[in-house]
Amino acid sequence: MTTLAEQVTLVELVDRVLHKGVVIARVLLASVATLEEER
Amino acid sequence: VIELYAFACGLRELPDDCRAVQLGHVAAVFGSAAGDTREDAIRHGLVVQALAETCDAVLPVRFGERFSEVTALVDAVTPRLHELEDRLAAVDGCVELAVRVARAAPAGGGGTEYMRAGLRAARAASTLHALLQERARAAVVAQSPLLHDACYLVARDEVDDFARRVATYGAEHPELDLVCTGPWAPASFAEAAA
Repeated sequence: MTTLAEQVTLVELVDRVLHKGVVIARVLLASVATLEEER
Repeated sequence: VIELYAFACGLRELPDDCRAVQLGHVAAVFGSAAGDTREDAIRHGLVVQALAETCDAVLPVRFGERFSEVTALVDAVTPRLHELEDRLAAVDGCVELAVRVARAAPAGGGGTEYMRAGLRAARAASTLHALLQERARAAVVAQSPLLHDACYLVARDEVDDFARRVATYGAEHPELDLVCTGPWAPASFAEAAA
């Protein structure tokens, strides 16, 4: 069981890895879109 | 298949189950690719966060950068090496702090007072941004429905002071709801290399 604060941190962590950072050669766009829908 | 996590300089320790290939001054940190679930994205993020604590400079890579083998990774990254070195130099010794500002619940009053209070809150958020920019090496402001949503690149030894500054400003401005999160690996400042 995680606290609300921990859940908020995880949401931000996921948001950051999906939307920020260096892009070299995306190969999983469809999969990531699916993952975002899960959130 | 391998997954690229980040580029780093001054790498002192690798997170568990990670490997690195050195390209010039840049270490490309990678591991075995897993799946595409939320848990996999969280794991990616945690590896990057761990690197931020054990490197002089880290440039996070977005989730989903996968290669068939190390040579494919090297081939893809090598043409970008100088660009990556420049970005790593820009974030050297720094982490990222996110600051979000919303208007606190209004105390009441009519429409005109509500509008005036909204303008005061917007001005206060703008002033906060100016104050924080003075203490940051760089800033990225996001398009957001919030009054203010920005990430600041801050020297590691100035993080506590920066966070205190945000907290103090929030206490002085009850018309604002302020949230400061981090320190994060500086992903918002990797865009120039994208």
